[in-house]
Amino acid sequence: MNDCTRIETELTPLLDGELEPAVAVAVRRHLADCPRCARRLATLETVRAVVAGARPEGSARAADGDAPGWAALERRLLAADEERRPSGRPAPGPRSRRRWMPGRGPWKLAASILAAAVLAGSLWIVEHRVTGVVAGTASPGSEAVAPGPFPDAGRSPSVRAAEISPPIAREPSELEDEPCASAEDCGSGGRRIWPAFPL
Amino acid sequence: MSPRDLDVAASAPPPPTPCSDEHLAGAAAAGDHDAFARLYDRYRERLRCFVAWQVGGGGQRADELVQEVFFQTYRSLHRFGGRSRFRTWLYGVARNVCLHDRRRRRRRPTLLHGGTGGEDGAGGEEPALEEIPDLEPGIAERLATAERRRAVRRELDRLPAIYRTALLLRDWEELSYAEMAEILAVPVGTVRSRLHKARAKLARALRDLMDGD
Repeated sequence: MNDCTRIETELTPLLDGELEPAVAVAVRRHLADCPRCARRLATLETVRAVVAGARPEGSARAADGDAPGWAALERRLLAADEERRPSGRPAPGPRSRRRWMPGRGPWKLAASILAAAVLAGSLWIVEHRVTGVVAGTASPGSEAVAPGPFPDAGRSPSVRAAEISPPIAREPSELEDEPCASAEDCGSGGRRIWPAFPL
Repeated sequence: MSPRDLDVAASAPPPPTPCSDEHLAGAAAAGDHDAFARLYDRYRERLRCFVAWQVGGGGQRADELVQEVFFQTYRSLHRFGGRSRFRTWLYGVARNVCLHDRRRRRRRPTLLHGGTGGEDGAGGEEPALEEIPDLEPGIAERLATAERRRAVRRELDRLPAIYRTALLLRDWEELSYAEMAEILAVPVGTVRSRLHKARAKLARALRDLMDGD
């Protein structure tokens, strides 16, 4: 490949300013000494000018968003936005949240009241049973238990615990390592088997 | 730094400013239709021109394709990560839409003007280096009249599509070689080669045009 053939491939990027500076200097040096390559560059330059001059004139710019065809395009964009949302779910917004609250609120409130009433009733029954058991086992000289739904009101928790606990109740940590008193009380590990809490 | 790195650096977008294409594209990706309307306004005419030359016809068909280009661009904006210029991205979408349209119409043959053929209108394998003819001085001025401009457009239309596309992207849209390579999905060397051959072919056509007068 002679110099002219090699240079010819560089003429187009030289014309477009896309040649590396060092290569461009070498090509220009060749062009200064080679009229044939210089004519080729002139031809390419002419073609470029002719093509650029043949560009159709664009219509006047419209105001932002008012260009012809925008309305039709925007309809398609809106449809695409709708498609992008998960199916079966309403569009998020304050209206849907407001609609949800009035429907569910009263039911939640009623359920809460009912649950509280059931809990209170259960507590009252337990308290009533315990009080009755303690009253039935109390000594003749002990203080009379006040009637009513909460007969223990006014007494300290330690007093109540002493009253309702069986005489053998002790802290579990104290019981763990206590050896068996007799063979029938012991399991296979040689530890005392304690009866269930007698409530 | 490798030539590939240079290509990437050359097509890298500048930092986005409030009115830059890249900033508007980001806003449009978040659902801002006004931002997308501004991009539409900026590029509609240029794209219409590009599309018309790509598919060999203007009018309603070009308008429909421009709509399709912007619609596809909007739908894929979430994939535009700002690694390249928005303009490069947009022209890449336009090229794909035009290619798809040409293939679709090839399956339903219609009489279209334009001498295109082959996968991208090249008519098969690209020829070796084109011989550049000499053109007499002052030909550009003689071709500057309205009638001559129409004649030049006819010659452009007769070029195979890959050469015509290269010329339009460079001489009408003033894109860099790196941007063109990204849009056309070819190496920069191929862009150089196509541009060179396109200008050489057109030079011969112009010489014949002037000789015919």
